[in-house]
Amino acid sequence: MNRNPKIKVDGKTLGDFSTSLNRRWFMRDCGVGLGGIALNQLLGTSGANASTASNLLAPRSPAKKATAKRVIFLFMGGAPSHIDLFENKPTLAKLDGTKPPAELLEGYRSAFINPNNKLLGPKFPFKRYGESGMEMAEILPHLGSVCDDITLIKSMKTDAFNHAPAQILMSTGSQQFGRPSLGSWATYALGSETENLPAFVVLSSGLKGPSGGSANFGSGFLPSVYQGVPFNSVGDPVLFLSNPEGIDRTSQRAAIDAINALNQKRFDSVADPEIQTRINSFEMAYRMQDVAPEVTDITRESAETMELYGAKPGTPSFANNCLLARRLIERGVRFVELFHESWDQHGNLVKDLKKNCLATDQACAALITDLKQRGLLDDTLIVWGGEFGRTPMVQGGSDGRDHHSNAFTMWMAGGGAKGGHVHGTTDELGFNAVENPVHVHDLNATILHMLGFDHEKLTFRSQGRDFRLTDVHGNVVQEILA
Amino acid sequence: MITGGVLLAAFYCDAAEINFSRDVQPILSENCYACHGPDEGQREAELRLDTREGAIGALKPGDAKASELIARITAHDADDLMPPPDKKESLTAKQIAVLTEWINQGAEWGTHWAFDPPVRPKVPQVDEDQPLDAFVVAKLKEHDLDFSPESSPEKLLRRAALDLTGLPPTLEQLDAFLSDKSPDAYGKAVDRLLASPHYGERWARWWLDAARYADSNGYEKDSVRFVWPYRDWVIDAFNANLPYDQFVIKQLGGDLLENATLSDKVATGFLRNSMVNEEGAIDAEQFRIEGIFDRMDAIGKSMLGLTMQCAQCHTHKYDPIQHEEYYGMFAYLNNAHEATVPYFTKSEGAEIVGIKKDLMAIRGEVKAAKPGWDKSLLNWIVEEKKQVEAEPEWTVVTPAHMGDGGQKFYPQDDGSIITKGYSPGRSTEKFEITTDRKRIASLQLELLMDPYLVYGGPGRSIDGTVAISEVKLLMGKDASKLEAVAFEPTVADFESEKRPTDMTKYPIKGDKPDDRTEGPIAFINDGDVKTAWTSEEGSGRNNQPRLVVMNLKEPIENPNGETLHLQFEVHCQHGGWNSNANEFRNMGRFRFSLSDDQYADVKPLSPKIREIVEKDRAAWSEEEAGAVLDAWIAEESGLQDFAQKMEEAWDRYPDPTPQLVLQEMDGEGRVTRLYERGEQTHPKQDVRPHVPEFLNDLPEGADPESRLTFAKWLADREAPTTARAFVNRVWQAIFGSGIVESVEDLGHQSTPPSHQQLLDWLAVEFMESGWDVKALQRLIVTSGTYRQNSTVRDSLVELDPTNRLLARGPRFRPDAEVVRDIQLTASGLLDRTVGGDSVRPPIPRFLFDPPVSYGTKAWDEDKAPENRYRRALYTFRFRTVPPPFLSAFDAPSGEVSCVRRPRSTTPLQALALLNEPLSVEAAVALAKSIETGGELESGLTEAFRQCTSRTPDDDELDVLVALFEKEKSAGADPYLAVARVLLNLDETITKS
Repeated sequence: MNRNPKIKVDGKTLGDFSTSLNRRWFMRDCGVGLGGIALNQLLGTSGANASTASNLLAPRSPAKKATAKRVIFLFMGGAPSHIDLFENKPTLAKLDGTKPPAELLEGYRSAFINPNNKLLGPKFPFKRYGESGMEMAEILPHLGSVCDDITLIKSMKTDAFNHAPAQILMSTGSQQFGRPSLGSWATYALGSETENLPAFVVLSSGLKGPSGGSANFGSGFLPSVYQGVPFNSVGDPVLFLSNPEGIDRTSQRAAIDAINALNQKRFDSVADPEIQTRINSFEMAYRMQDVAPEVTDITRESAETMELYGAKPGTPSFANNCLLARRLIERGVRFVELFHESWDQHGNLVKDLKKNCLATDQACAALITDLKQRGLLDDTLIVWGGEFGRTPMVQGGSDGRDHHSNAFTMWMAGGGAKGGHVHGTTDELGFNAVENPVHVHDLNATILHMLGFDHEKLTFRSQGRDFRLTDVHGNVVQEILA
Repeated sequence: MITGGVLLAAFYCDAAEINFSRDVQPILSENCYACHGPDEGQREAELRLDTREGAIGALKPGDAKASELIARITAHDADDLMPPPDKKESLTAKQIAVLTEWINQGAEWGTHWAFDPPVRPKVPQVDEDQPLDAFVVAKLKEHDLDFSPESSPEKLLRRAALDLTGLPPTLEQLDAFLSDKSPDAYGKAVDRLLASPHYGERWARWWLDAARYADSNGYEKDSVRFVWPYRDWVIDAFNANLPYDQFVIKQLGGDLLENATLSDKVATGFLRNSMVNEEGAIDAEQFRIEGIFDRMDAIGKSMLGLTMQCAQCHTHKYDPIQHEEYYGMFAYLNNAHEATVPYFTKSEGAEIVGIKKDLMAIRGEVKAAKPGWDKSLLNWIVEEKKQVEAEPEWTVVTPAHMGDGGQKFYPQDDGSIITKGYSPGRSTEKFEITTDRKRIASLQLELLMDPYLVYGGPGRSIDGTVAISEVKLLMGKDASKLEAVAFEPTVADFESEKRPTDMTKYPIKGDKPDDRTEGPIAFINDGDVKTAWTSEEGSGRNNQPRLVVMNLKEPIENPNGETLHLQFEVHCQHGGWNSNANEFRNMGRFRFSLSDDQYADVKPLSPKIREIVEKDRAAWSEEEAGAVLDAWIAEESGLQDFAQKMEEAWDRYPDPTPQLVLQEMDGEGRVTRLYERGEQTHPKQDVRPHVPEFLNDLPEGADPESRLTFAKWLADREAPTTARAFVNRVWQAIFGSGIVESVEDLGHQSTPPSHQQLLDWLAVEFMESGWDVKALQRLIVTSGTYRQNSTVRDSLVELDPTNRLLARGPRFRPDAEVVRDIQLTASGLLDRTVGGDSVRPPIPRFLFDPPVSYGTKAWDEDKAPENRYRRALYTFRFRTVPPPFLSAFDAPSGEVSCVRRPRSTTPLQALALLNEPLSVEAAVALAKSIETGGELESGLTEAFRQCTSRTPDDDELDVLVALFEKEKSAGADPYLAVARVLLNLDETITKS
């Protein structure tokens, strides 16, 4: 039977679409009124019906025009201080040491501190960068140097002020666990452009792992082929990638040949198409064993590139992960998410922000520069940010800030985001997003839009209803689109 | 889910007679209810199409052409067209035809099929012995299909063994079955499988998905919890064939049963499998409510078969669950403590009985050795009471917590303070108050019990205890210039001898020598935070209130009643370094009091004994009388040898396992309020416990507001969805998909049932059998439907690729745990011990360390085969770092209730099967058995049978032998090579 029927949606070909289901059945029952059938129905998967990795991950073109084909999400776990990095607020500096205005605190919920703690001015001098004159702290010189390529969103806001719930909200559009993550929605929508690597790869650096754990990159009720696969920065890049002791590559090939030969024999007698999927999965695994070590071997990069990122082979770092992210997307990985959980500055604000900027600023800028040089920035979206912001009020003596959900800053580069653009503002204390506020749902809607999907139409049926990343919320932020 | 639905809808529309519930309502629900459904808040044009009364205005029964409904769904003008063109929904020509035909046939209305209690349908008249098969065959005949031939005996036994016990048959079991030529050989084999202790393990794991079981708390800290007693309760329940109604009732209300046993209480662990957020500075109430939302979700998916989450925020858009009714059910769950009970295994329970006997015996010896003991005892009591009466008068003070360490402190009506939220391993907490007292001569610190604390407290440690490194009192007239107040030696009702801090429980970081000590009360204010007083008296006596009294060296004199600032500092520095690993020993519930007078320099009578001796002696329980006697023996001169013997007995007391349970609050307790949009910051009207009107009535004669009644309501014969939901899920486990594929939702939006009458028949049969789970499963696995072979016949490839019609037997890759257990069984490594603490097979260490894991997680890899090779059900599960082998095969993380796992086939699975450490160990073991199995071909044949339960044919052996020779000549281990191949076969990890 034909395993590669072409499927059309709204008149557009979705690319090669191999399926274990019978083609004629597929065309007969799903081919009717395809325009009205959501993508999930096309994918033909369910708990009952074992899904094949290959067909679920076949590359697909979106229905709408996309400006981004892939995403690198730099998740700054712990929540960076927007106040100290991006918000030059002379009023806050002036009011340093005084109590915040009472009306601002009405109904305000804080995590650790008494909301009525004194205000704390920004800790670092600010500077205007680039042609756009974008303002950032002096401790972000590298990002400043590429600011004409980024959109700074200063009016982000969210609903949660504890780490895990806020991270889950950022990653999945819900504070409740069990929903698919942005990366898994993106790969569900677009499939993968590599058969040798996972479609959605997760990298971690920093002091800790993400507070939300693997739910940050889980697939929720989507098929599990869409979940993020953590890559390790030392040892095996993918879990269980290396052959066991005593098994070399030739032996592995011989074993897989024998496995597949016996599986094929079984298929000949029981005719279950799932056996073909199993055979395919072993072939992919074998290829991945070849490709993954090569892709994670950053020593193959030139000295200039290493220097650009500040990458050092053998020493796990955010810089190495940024470089690795570029290598992954070059090879067709759809979504790469970097977690760098180091930004929870309840204390040691000055020292730790300096340290964090040293660890990340250069590599972030290098990623933009490098992608641009390679012509990849146009259709690769980079997103940078944490799960919430930090209080303009002090925590502890004079060197810490608490969690703050009313306002924070994120940035985007490439993939159809404007360059040298600042979107939204906060009040003069950096407390509330006052102009053009962007909720997490709006951000997610915008990212899906850039990938060519209407966030209201990209749905998956589960528990009797069509779920979407943005639930019942979200507006595309048109102003930041180039 | 969708695909099958599309397919079946196509089948249905061939039927001439339109059935409202089957054919019409799904169309209305899918396309109309979002705006014209149960939710009043969203209703457009005051039209509702989910009730006949609402819809009739738009219908003219018998005349579709004259019906507004048809006019609107076929309108050419975009302004008139329904659903509106800008909505996602749009009707297909087929759907319009169905609606038209329905109206022409008279627009017969009815309730959704799953909302009426099931009645036993008539069994179709076909030539089948079993009613189950009759329903299936009748449907097959509609499509000119027949059953496939029966499966081969070895494959049938393997299928049944995997379904009933989650383990493949051993070769002995296989040979015994193959040589049993009696006509009911298969039936007997099924009975043996159902009687196996492994049956309970397999179905427990299945239930634990729904129960979102995991061994850690989830969220950021994700610290270890100890809830395996609940897991074992589920295993035991299945093995004992506990009727399903009882199974439900105990898990939702076991604590409320008359004479509830420890086991009944453990059953409520189902409700406590919710995650717990221990992140710094959380609002404890917010996450308590999140926990109840989670319980509602789990009950909805697993027991009720209805999705409830929608109604958390607004009236359900598709099903008739009102917003208020959601909170009515919520209210049943709201009035309970999140308690932790001490769980003891059977042998530990026996040890405790022995210890109590020994204590009784020693008491007897005392009485024999000391004539007139009773008089001495009474005198002692009188003296103690006198001393209590002479104690200074205390004024309770409730200072406010200062600072931002992350623990949250909640003042109570009695002046005490309860600590919740994040609990650091080492804490320093400050509390302040202003007072105009004229004199302060002493300070009392009471450590109190509370049902939310482990074993009731009084501390927050994993044993419910506390260790206080230092208490300081600072005082001054100027808040910014406080000075420490000096104390006289301090007394407490309990203190232990000086001992080093337990490094294994409360480790310090690095390899510095640990110089922390703890024990005597003097340590509480000796100015040294390396020394601590602790309430720990050993497992049998840890959990009781404690009393600490500190006299001021120089009483504070404030004759003019000026405002004084007092600051209480409490240091708990004797926990471990890892705040994510239960290494804290902070105060749980406590109360400060002040007095004008000094306390006598005597040891205070313990709060527990005070409470007893205040009562009339005749009212003492045996245990209370024993406690008083023991307290006297400990202090009476001349009885020290006996006291010593008693201490030795107590020292043998086993450590309990802290099982999380739900424990009903006394009295009225909490008020439940409806949350607008589900947001806790928007509470609206009060809601009393009640159930949705469209479902069955509450059982008569029972307290309508009790959680136990709610549980019984769910498990009632009249409950329309409970039995259907369960039967459907069992069907799913065995055939790969439910009769209704959306097993979590039997409501209006559910996928159309493939065999609705069969589902109803099974549900009725199940209830009438006394909710007999094993009987249900026996019925299914002995059916002709089940016994068919699973070969995908040509005709089926096209007509029914997902096997919804069941013209063949099931064939699919079983759950992750079964895959693991197949490897362990086939290789002979499996340890078959049932129950007990979770185990830690090898998992790459880096997953448990930052920056992958948020915090460092302990993973003390089990090396001993009896732990390392236990069934996958016993693998310890961290929610944020789930076991990677199991995750690769779609095991859920336990963060939310899961009643339908996805089933994927991925290259990561291939890597796990080929290279993961336990997979390799299984291959090595199997290789060994081939090597020692005599002739190569016989060794291979036996190993092949271990893996697939079938004898290989010559071609298959040829492939293996060829590989063997190739690897041998290449100098590789040829036995390992063939063993890996066998364990990696699709057939090995497939149920067919």
